Amino acid sequence: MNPLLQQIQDRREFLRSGVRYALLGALAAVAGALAARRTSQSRCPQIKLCRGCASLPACSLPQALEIKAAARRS
Amino acid sequence: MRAKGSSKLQTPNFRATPDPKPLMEGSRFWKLKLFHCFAGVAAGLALLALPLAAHGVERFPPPEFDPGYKMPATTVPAARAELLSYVDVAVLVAALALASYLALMKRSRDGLLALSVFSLLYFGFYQKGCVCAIGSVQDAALAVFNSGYVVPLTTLAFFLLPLVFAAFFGRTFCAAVCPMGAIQDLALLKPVKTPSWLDSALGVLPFVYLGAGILFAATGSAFIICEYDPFVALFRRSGSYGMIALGAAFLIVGIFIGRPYCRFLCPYGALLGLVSRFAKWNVTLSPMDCLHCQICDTACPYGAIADPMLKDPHPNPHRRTRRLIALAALLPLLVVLGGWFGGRLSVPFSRMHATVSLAEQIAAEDAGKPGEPTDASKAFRQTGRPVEELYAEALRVRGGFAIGSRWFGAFVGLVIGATLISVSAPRKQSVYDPDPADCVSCGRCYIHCPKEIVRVKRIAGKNVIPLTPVRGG
Repeated sequence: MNPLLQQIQDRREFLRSGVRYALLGALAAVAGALAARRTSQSRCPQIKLCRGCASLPACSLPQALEIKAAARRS
Repeated sequence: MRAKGSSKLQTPNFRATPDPKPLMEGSRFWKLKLFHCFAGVAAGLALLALPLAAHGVERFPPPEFDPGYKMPATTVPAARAELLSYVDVAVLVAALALASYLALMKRSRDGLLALSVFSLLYFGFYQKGCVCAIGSVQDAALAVFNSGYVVPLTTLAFFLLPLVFAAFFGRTFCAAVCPMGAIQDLALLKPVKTPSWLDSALGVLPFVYLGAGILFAATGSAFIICEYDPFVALFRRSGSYGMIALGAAFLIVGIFIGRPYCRFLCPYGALLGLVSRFAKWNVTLSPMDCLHCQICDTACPYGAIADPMLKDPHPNPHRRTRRLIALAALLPLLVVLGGWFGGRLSVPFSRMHATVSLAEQIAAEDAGKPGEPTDASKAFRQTGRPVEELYAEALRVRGGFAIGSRWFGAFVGLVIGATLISVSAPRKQSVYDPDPADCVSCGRCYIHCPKEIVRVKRIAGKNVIPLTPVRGG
């Protein structure tokens, strides 16, 4: 291959790699931030299905406490 | 017709010859035509009949009970075990790895087709289309903009894993892992090629939908991508009449136009296309010894094969350069105009939020405007909460929309400007090769490219076919 063309290809591949790893880095940063928030707060696997959740008896989130109190009242 | 195997050259999906009629007897040709017509109409009617079955549950009003009747306690089905959601993630990883292997190393259309059927059954009908990578964009957006929302780990995995795979292997998620792509791929019976200008114009829509999905999720208004998912009602065999009819309509259109939702609406596909442009490996044909036979271009039902620019088709290259400079200058203007227009839309957009909608209803009722009170307004009044508090909350939400809508508009302006530039810019490609952003790695081109067939036969003795070369490398 023409050395000049090869050089251009190499440069293009270098730039593509740079963008690729920057994107992956950004994704990792977002994932890390969201996962860290997840571990720093109470975790709820079924946030929309509180009443049917298997974790409800042991759950101490406000919504779960409300549901359990309502169940006791009825 | 579907591809039967990868070992021999088959007739492309589109007519490579101008008219197949002379190739067979006249009466047989028309019988085949009639059969295709009847099969298409029967499939369409069967799909349209689905909503009737689902609609049956809403036909009768609830009965009126005696005053002494005691309502039984509401029961809900047990939630899915948490362990199973981790199994889903493991299946997703395995499916992505297998799809990448089949698309880039094994280069097997049959394998991808089999994996598509599995994904449709597992992620579609068994998992009922949820959690899905497409909808997980909204979870991620809500979690980023709302510190009170904790995104489940499995949802985060569904959002990230296909993007990570796309950064290395292209859109292999779309190839055979996404159930929505799989159902459309299987429905494609009689592909019709759409003009490239229409592809380019409609290609803006997924980005608009992505922007809107993020805007409404980030403001906590709605998960519109899930709400208007055309196939989830089919996967659940239940849903509103409108959504099942929409899903059926997409499938009927998908008989002729390859993957209409994926190409012209899917917001996650837009993200994957962006990442895939920078993928380490992508689907390629035989870049060094392309025959320019155009069979791959004819066989690709998604218009993803980028035509080579053998000579500059523009009569005046200077004029083209001037046009490119003008478009580049227009880009900031489009962004600013989009931002301005988005700002104008912030008030109607904000009505998607339950608090704003309720505040407007309460204000209208208090002002004595004609109209019945809604269930929400009645419930609000029963709480005894001060109206001022509701108005303040609605104003806060509307403030968020004022900023978000401007960003959304600017983003749409940027996408339109970038699309105009990309269609005007000259391509330096000299062979027929799949466009990394548009190619969904379905593998149809492999079984049609004569050079690829020869290549596969030549190295058939080896157990594993070498990984495809880097595009352009």
